[in-house]
Amino acid sequence: MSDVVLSVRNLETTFKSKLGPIRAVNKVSYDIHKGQTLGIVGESGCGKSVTSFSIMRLIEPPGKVAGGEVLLKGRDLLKLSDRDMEDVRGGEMAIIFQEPMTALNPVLTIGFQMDEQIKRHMKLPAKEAKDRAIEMLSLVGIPSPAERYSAYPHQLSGGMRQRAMIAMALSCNPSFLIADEPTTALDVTIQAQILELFQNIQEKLHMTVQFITHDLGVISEISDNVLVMYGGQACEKASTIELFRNPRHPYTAALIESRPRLGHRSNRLKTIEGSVPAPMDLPAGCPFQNRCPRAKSECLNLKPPMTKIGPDHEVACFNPL
Amino acid sequence: MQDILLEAKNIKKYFPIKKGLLLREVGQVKAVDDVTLTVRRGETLGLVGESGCGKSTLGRTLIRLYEPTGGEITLDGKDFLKLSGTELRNRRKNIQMIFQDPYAALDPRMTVGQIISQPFAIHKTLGPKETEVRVKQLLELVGLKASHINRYPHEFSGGQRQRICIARAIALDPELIICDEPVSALDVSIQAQILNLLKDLQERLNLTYIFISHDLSVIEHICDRVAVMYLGKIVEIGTRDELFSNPKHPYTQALLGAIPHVGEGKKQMKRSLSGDVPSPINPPSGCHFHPRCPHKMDVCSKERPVLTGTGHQASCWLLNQNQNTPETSKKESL
Repeated sequence: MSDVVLSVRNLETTFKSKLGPIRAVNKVSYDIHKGQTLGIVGESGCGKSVTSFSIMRLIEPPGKVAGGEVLLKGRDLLKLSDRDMEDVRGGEMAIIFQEPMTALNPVLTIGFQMDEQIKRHMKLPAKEAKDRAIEMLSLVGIPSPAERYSAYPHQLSGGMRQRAMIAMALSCNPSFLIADEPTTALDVTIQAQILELFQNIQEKLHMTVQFITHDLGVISEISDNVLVMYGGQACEKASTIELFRNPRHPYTAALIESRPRLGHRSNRLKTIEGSVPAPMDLPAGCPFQNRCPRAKSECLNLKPPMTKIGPDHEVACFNPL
Repeated sequence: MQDILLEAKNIKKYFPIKKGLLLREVGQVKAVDDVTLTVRRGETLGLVGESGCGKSTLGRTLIRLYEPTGGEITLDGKDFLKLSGTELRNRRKNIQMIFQDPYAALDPRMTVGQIISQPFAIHKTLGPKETEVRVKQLLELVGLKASHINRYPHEFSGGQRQRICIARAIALDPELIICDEPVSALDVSIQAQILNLLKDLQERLNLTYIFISHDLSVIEHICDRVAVMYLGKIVEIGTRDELFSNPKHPYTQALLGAIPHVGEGKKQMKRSLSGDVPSPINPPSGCHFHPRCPHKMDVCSKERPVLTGTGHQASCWLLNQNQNTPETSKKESL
């Protein structure tokens, strides 16, 4: 078994509100092994992005990480001082956001923003930092990288901007990378380019990746393992092939069924009735109970724990498929 | 043969680019350039393409939300572009639109009842009593409750708001509805509900849809015929079955190849296309697609191909000149 790079244990993140604490992430645990990609999938509000932000310690008040452990190579990130955390962020661990236009500073050149990070983490002098930045830009397939180095974000197309974001994230050789919906804002042909780039780079650099998306197609092509989240909780975790062939949680199964698929024509789509409950009034028991066709009486009051039901397959359900 | 509801010939929509103190026109964005298509009664015609390809502009031009720069539009056998004033207003009752973002499309200060009764107020078709009865009917028709009539949009989720937009769109019993990315802003589980609702309503009310989307799997699910657009032009058009099982244009092939497939496990992606969509201000010469095309030939950069074929049409030199072997362009190295 390969060694664990990131281990998240019982992570809890809450946001204060007038109506009491909102549990955005509720006791989520998972491990990612070296060189592997864990895909986290779920609909809006399921807590997938808050999980990543909690790992990066980017949660700001009124939110706070209320409990749990985030072990990066055995070191608990939640216990680090702010200063030590700054060394980790952008150095050992990096993140790519969904919208590169808002993640990049529009009044600074791409090169300036890359240099800043390289100088801080790799302690390189200006000249070498610049060389490193240009090298990274060419690694991600940006044509004429030396010119793009002095370009401003608005001078690049969406796909190029996302490439620049990837270059920036990779510039200090992170051992762990979080990609938060990196292709959602892009057109399909550009998305295909970025995903291909991603896979090539991961192979080259043996990176460990946490890939967050709501797109089941993307998740199924890019990840080794998948974690499905609903209402702030993990509901199913399995290897990608196992999850799509043999989904056991009613939510996972319904999610896969409700998506129109190329080449699978049917007159009507299966639907999940109702909508995702608001995070402030999550039910006491299983968060999916009110939409679940298989709900039983115990689902109403008890939270189903993650239970192993096969090799590499865990599900949080009292009445799995 | 189904009868034709809307026929558009050589539709063009150019937006001027103005610069300088006097705002002189220095160029044009050819958002829709010479598009010809027909929409048959009762069918769903899909318009698909990447951002900036002109699919939304075409949708809006067809119903004269944008005045076309050139071309002809015949609606129900009458010249739609010649109408004005009351006549135009009366005709427009038959055409409605559903937008992408149900948060932006509803006035936050109006109740659901007020929103859905707007069409009756504008067209003065119903009195206040009848309006209320009809609004309640409409709410139930789209899967909401009649008791929701006095609530405000913020009390509803995204999917429910899109249902409100749909209720407003069908209020006047239109024949044609332009659906501009109606499910793109919604979560997967909600998308399915809205797509099913649109299909049900089409059957019950005999609606004709022009369905605009960038998502090919949604398009395949809901459309009878599909037009693929690239830089303001239709590059391929045909029935859903033909287009998806036998795509002729390299761009359509690339689009289909770029979609990640669910449930097939991790695999090495193969890039189908390199480069970005060029700017419509200064599109490439000849075939607009040639700089990204894997089958580029000499003729492609010089002359513009036209749509050829009967029924299933595509505009590509490969189809006109099968004797030429396509010269595969060197793929950009990573």
